[in-house]
Amino acid sequence: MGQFDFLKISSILKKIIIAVTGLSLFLFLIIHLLGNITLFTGNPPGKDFNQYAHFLESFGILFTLAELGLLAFFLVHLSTALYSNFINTSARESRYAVTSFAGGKSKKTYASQSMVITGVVLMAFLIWHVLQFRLGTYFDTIYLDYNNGEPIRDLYKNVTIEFTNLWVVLGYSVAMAMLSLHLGHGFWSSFQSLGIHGKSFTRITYSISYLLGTIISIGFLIIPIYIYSIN
Amino acid sequence: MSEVISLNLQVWKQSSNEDVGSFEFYSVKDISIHISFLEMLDVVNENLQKEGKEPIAFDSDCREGICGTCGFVIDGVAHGPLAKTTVCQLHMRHFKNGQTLVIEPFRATPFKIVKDLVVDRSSFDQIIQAGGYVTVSTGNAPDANNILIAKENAEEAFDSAACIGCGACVASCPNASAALFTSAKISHLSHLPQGKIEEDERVKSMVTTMDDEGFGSCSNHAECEAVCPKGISISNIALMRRNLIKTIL
Repeated sequence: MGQFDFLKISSILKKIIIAVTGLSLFLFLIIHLLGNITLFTGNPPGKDFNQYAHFLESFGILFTLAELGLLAFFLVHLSTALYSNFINTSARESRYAVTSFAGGKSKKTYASQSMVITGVVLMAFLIWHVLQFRLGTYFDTIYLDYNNGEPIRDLYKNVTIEFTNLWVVLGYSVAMAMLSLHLGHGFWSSFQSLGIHGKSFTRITYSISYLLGTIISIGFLIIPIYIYSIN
Repeated sequence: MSEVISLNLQVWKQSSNEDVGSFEFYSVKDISIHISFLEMLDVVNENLQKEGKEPIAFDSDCREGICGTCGFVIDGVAHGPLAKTTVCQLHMRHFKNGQTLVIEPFRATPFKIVKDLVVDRSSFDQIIQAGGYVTVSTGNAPDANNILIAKENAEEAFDSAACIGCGACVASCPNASAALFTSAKISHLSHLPQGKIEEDERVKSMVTTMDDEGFGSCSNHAECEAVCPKGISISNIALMRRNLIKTIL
């Protein structure tokens, strides 16, 4: 019995944890993307976006708890995957000289084989993203018809300043490319990890998985590109 | 089309699991396209023996594609380029004249290399011993059709039972996971009333043994299904997961 035996959970249970947290984070991404639509509406520009951000923050402690919960999901997802990857690496100590793709019914892709790499890059991106916007510079603004004329955070200004920098836009483009690959394998794979498999169900989820990943990534990427192009 | 081809083989040679191992190059000529891959290696070995050199060690038994003894990796694909075919049933007509082929053993930490292309797959036996059995009543032989089994169940059980335990799933898995093998055995028995009695215990102990033997975890690459000589579906893996979730809940 080793010192770390308490960490020993079944390989299947690890995958279930990765799938559940992964699907939850996927759901969060959808909500995040829908929330981002407010960047394009509102008069003056940014009014809807700032009010949406203010509305979320007005939940106070509940909002903080939700944020911490989200952070926990990310950390559990990442750490379980890294732990699993460590075991997988030791399961093949001597590598093949030649690897290939068998084709046919195989769903092995460059994306499916690089989940750990895309995942770690996305985590680094998330830290940067949160530092930029959630914890970024605090600009005040006043909307007289909202919140009794109290100043609220002008997050829109923050966004427009960040996205006038070409390097930031390029950085986001790389991150979103990683996201499309990660979701491409992750979406259909989560259902399979949870034991949800059916001839047509699996065929459909697999065939839309990479498409969905690309659509979501492009959806997010429209924002920095649009803001960069109008400034 | 010429009836014979020449090939350049790059074969993994390793004297034991402790040995480092390296590739050996062989240039082979006048190979009939009608012989199987293993027969081609027999020809190579015969020539090597005539020259007083050590032959290439590889496993084989039935040479009919049903015993699961043979198997190695050709150009990065377990059992070679032809789907649903073991290397013993893979004929040389599927290769081009002058082609270079890289031949490696099934690589996974739990599969210790015995010699060259021969690997020890006894970790599969450990998984089977952990739960691949059913309880039967002793005494007189039961009447035929005493226990009725729906046709769909019988067919699904048979599809899973087709697994010959060759280890190509492990060899082709980027994580060296034995999920397809283990799940095929679990699923085979789960579909039959005789297998229902130990269902919960079986999945727990077989999965635990699979992990303890040092196999990786399944990341749903489905490469195993593509190389499986019997075309075992990854739906078995999903069933194994459902069974395990059921025991937890």
